[in-house]
Amino acid sequence: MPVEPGGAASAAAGSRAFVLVVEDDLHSTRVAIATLEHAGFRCVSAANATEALDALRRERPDLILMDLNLPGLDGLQLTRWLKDDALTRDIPVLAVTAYAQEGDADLARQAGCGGYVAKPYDPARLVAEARRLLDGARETP
Amino acid sequence: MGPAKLLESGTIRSRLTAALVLLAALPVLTLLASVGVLEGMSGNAHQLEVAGGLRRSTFIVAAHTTSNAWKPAPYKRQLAEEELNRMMAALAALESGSANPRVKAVRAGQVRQRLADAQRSVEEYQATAHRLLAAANDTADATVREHAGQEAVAAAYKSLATTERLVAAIDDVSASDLRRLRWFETLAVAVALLVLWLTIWAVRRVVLGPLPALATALAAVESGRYGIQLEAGSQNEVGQLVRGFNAMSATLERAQLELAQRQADILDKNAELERSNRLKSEFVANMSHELRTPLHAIIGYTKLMRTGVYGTVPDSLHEPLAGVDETSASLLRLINDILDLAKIEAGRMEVHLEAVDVRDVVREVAELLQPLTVGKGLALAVRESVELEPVMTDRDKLRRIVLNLAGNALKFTRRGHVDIEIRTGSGAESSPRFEVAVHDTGIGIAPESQALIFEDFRQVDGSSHREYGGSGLGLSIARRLARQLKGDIVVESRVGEGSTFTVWLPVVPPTSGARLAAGRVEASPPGSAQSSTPWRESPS
Repeated sequence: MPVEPGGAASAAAGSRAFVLVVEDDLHSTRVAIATLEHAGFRCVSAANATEALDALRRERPDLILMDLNLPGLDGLQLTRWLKDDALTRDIPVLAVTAYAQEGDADLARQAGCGGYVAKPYDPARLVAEARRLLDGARETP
Repeated sequence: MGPAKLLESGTIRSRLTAALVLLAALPVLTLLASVGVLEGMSGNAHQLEVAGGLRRSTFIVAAHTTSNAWKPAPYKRQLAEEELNRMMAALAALESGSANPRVKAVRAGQVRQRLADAQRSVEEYQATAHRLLAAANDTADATVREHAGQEAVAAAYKSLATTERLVAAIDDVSASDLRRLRWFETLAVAVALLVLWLTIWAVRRVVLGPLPALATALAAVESGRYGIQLEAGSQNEVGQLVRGFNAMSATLERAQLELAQRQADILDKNAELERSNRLKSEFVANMSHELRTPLHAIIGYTKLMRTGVYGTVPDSLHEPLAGVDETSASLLRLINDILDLAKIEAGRMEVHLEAVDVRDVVREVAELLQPLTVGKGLALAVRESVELEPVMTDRDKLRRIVLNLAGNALKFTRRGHVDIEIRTGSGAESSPRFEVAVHDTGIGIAPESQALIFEDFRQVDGSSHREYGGSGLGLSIARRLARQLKGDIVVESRVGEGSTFTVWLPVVPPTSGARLAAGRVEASPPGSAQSSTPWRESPS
């Protein structure tokens, strides 16, 4: 399993990348956090949109892992919200969903997500996508 | 009963016929009547002639009598007598007919009166003439002779006046006959004109009257406004026409109503169908989410454990962890199969056409399945017997079909080899198509089971499920997908020797395919391709 601790990107940046995991399912959250932390990221989780906004106010993440199926304001709406806000617009969003319906990837892209991973995912693929988005975000500003 | 009522009873044909017969009969009747009148007039003319003869005879008698007075002679007396007899005969003929059939007895009362007058007058004249004729002698002097001549002439004039009145009376009768004839002819013309006018009026009223309304109503029906009812009016042919129209109009209206009712029913059913279809789709999506979420956690935890994320794994746990990994992957495959089947059933599986190199897809599948051959000592090979240009098709669905067929072949083959062959062929109307044939040296399928294996959840028998595993959905899904791509899957097999499953799909060149595509013509997003292809991660 090619999940290596301490990603190259974060190593190059000199500090561990900070990821906000927005996910309502407890076990999905744990798997995501374990995967990302094992890969060298620092994580904080939020179970819904309100918690996500609170977490964003406390510390600006380098990447948001966004479950599209959240109670209340769903992941797509929350992403659009973040992309409308000048302060959060530049934070890359990686969409995650267990719906896996045709067209979900398009919806996610239209809402402003930079990547899309369907559950169940291979941990290696999640890490690869996360690194790709972080690298992209680092290059653009 | 007024004329209108009279016209409305009976058929138009019978009434028109009656009118025409009347019109034809009128001239004939007129002619017959005229002939009668003319015959009478002809009789009058003969009577006039006879009466005219009386005048002539009167003068002849007078002349002979005068001549006899001046110089008596027996022949003169004889001639006068003959003339007098002729006069009496003429009067007798006028009174009661004669041997000459053309001279008929006078009938009119006035004429008979004049005839009686004339008879008396002529008798007097005859008596005077006899007396004068008898009295004449040679010795008489000139004065006496003169006097006798004067008396004869005076008697002649007297008789003549009466005769003239008879002639005038006969002439009057003749003139009145003529007047009658003229009156009769005038009447006949008037009656003919009246009948003609009545016929025209009846035709206008009975036939032409209802027709404009009927034409208007027919135009309305033509433009789709049914149900118009006209007043039938009379019992005749036009009335029948109107009643026929009314019946047709009513039938059409009923049919239209029924049609509308049926359309409404169909719309209702469609709406219901759409609703249930939507519910089904929503159910599929929800089930997908609800089943995958916990399974995701199981698979994730297991992979993380096996990676050592939670610390070093004791040797004794390697095998059970691998078992969890394997069985959860197999459960995921089953869930995906069921959800795919549900999606196909709900009509939610869209076709995304793109230019596809079939060889790439087959090689990819072979590569993906290679790990399954390792433990069994099987050979998995790809044979490309033809050069195939890229075709327009759905890459994910094609991969899924080949994956299911080849996976199936590997599952039911314990030793030998599985070959995947790419071929070209032609179907009905020699339309070009390509084929991917999967040959195996497995257990084979009995002929009677070959049709059953494509059914949902179907395997050859219960024992094979225990022995070989799997949901029994792979072939069913593969065939549905192939048919969705306008192709199909066929199987040839011999028990104990092996099977060949062949999928054929139409060859659509990339240029025309873009136009033919029914669904969205775009490459399917990589994310969704991932999601519907669990094989991609499972064999690793």
